[in-house]
Amino acid sequence: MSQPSTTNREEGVVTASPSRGRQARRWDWLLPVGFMTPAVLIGIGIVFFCMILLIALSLREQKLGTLEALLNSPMSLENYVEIITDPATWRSLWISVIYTVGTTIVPFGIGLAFALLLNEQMPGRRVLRTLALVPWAIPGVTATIAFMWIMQPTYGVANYLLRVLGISDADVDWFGNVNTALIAVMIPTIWKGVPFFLLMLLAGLQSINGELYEAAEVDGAGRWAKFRYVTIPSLAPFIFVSLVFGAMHSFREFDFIYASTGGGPQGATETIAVRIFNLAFDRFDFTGAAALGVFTFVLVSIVIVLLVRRDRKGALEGFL
Amino acid sequence: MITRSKVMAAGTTAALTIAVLAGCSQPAPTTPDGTAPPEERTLEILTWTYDAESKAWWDRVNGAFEDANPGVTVHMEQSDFGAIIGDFVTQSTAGEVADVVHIPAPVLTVLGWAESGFLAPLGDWLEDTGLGADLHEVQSSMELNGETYGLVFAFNAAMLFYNAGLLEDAGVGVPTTPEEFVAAAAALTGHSGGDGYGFAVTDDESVNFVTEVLSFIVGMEGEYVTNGDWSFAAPKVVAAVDVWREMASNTAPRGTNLSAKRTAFDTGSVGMMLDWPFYYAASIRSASPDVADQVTLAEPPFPVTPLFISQGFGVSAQSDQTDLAKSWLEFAMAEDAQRYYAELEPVIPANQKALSVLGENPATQPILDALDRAELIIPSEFTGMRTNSSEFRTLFTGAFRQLLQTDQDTSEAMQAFDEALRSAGIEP
Repeated sequence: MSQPSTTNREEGVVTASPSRGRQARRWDWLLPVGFMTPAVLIGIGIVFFCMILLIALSLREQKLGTLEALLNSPMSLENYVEIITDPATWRSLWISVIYTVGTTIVPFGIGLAFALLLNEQMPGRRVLRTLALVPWAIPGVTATIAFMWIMQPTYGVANYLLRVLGISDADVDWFGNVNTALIAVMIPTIWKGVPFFLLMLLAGLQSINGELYEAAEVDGAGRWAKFRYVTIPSLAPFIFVSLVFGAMHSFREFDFIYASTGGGPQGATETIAVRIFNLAFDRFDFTGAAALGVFTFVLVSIVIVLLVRRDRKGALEGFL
Repeated sequence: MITRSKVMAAGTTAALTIAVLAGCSQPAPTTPDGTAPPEERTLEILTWTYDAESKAWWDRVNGAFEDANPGVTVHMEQSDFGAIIGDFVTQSTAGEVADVVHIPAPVLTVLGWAESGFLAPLGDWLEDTGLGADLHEVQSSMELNGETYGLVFAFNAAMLFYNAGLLEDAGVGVPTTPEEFVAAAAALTGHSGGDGYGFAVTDDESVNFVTEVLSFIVGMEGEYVTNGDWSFAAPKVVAAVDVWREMASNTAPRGTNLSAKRTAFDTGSVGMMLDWPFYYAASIRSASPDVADQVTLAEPPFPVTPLFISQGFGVSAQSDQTDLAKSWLEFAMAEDAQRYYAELEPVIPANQKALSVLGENPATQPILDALDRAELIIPSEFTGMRTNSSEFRTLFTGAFRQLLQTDQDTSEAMQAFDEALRSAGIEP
C-alpha cells in the first residue's frame, strides 16, 4: 500500500513519503515511452516494410509490371549482376562522390567564413544573419529554375557578364555541355547549402568559452594561432556533424539535378539518386532501380558506420 | 440480483438490435416510377489536359457520357504532362490505377506498357464497334503482336509557325523549301535592333529535341533506317542534318527547351519555329497583343510533312469496369467529339470523319493541305526504337547536340552515331 503524504509545516511544502517517491520514479519512464511507442512502431514499421519490399523487388527477374506480377516473377541475382557490371553505375557513383564533395566542402568553407564574420560585433549583424538564411527558405526547384535562367546560354545574365567583361563571346551552354554541366548543377546546390553550415558553425562559435581566447592572448597567440588552436578544435564536433549531415544531404540530392538536367547531358550529371529514378521511370526498370537502391544503401551504410566509429574515438581526431 | 439499470440496458440493446435488423430488411430503394435506381459507379480518367485549353472538351464529353449512363460519374485525375508517365506506371504497379488513361506520345509508351500488362487489349472491342474503320492508319502504332492496346486520339503534323509582321519587315516571303527556310532564318536574324533571331529550336535532352531533328530528316526525305539497319550517315539524312545544324547554330538562340523556344516566338524575339499545330491556339493566347495578330501557320517548308502521334487513350488492365471504360472511349472517339477537340486545339483528329473540321477554318487549312504528303517520323514498325526510346533518346541527344557545340564533321558524326546505336544493341 502507498504511504500517506506528509506535510512539512515549517516550510509549507507537501512532500511524498520517500518510499512512494522511489516507486513513482521507478515508473516515470512508462508515460513517455507509452506516448512514443506508437510513433516509433509506425516509423520502424514503414522503414522496414519499404526495405523488405525494396529487397524483394530487387531480386526479381521481371523489370516492370504490377506489384503482384513482380513479386511472383522468378527470383534472381541478375539485377545485382547487371548494376555491378554496368560501367554507368560506377560512373554515377563517381559523379555522386564529386557532387557530394563539391557541394559539401565549398558551402562549408563559405559558411565558415560567414559564420566567423557574423560572430563579430558589427552594425546590422542581426539583419545579415537573417538574410543569410534566405537561400535555405527557397524551394530547390525554384532556385534551380532561377539559376537556369541566370545561366541560360543566349539570354542569361552569367554569359552576358562574361561578354561585357570581355572574357567570352560564346553562348556557353552551362547545363547542356558535358564539360560544364556538373559544375552548373553544383552551383545552386552550393548556394542553397551555405545557410546550413553557417547556422551550425555560428552556433558552435557562440558556444566557445571566451576565456580560451583570453588565455591564448596571454600566451601571445595572434589571430591565426587563436583560430587554429582555439576556434577549430572547439568547433570540431560542429564541423564533424555539419559535414556528415551536409554530405548525406548532398549524396541523396535530387531536386536540383533532375529539375535542371535530368541527369544529362550524356549522363554527365547522373548521380546515383538520379540514376535510380531514371531507371525506374525513364527506362521502366523497376527491379533494376530497386537493386541499385539496395546497393547504394549498403555502400552508404558502410561509410556512415566507418565515420561513426571514427567519431567515437574523437571527432575529426587526426584531421584537425 | 437483477437491477433496474440492467433491465433498462437490456431493453435498450434489444430495441437497437431490432431497429438495425429492421433497417437491414427494408426493401431496396426505388425511383418514383418504381424501378430500381441505377448502380452508382465512378469512372476514373487520368490525364494531363484537364486544366488546359481542352477542359471544355472533357466537360462536354463527360457530361454526355454521364447522361447516357445514369448512375455513372466521371472523375478526372489531373496530372502534369511531365509526370503522367511516372504517375501511370506507379499507379499500375501499385494496383491503384484509373480506368482510362490518356497516353502521352503513345508511339513511345504504349509498347512498354502493353508488354508490362498495364493496358487492356481492345482489338475485339474495336472490331465489334466498327470504330476501327473510321480511324487513320496511324492507329497501327497502338498494336503489339497483332493486338490493339490503345486508340490514337489525335496526331500532329510539324507546321511552320511564323511572325508575319517580322517576315514582312525583313522583306522575306514565307519559305516553302529548305533553301528558302535557311535564307529566311538568316535574313530575320538580327531583327529588332540586333537582338532578334530568325528561328527557334528545342535545345535540350528531351524527346522534343529528338522529334524536331527527326522532323527535318523525314521532312527532307531522309531515310534514317534502310533495310532494317540504321542509316543516319545516308547522304539525304546528312544533308537534312546540315540544314538543321545551320539554322540551330547560326539563326537561333541556344539552350532553349520547348517552353523557352515557344516563349521566344510568342514574345516576338524569334521570327519562325517548327512546332505542332495544337500549340497554335495557346500561342495566340500567350503572345503579346502585337505578336498575337501576326502568328500564322504554314505548311512545313519540306517535301514531306513530318507526323508525330501526340496522344491516345488506353484502358487499364487492372480496371474492374473495362466495359464502362471502353464505352467512354466510344464517346471520346465519336465524330462530333473529335471535331470539337480539333476546334479547340488544332490537331489532326484520329477519326477521319472529323478531319474536315480543319478545312473549315482558314487558319488551320494548311494542316489539312500538308497531310497529303505526310509521313510518321517514327513509323509504327520501328518497334526496337520505340521500346528502347529512352536509350535511343540519350544517344541521339548526345550525338546531335555535339553538332551544335563543336565543329565536328556531320557525316563523320552520323557514322559514329549509327555505330553507337548498333553497339548499344538498339535495333530500329
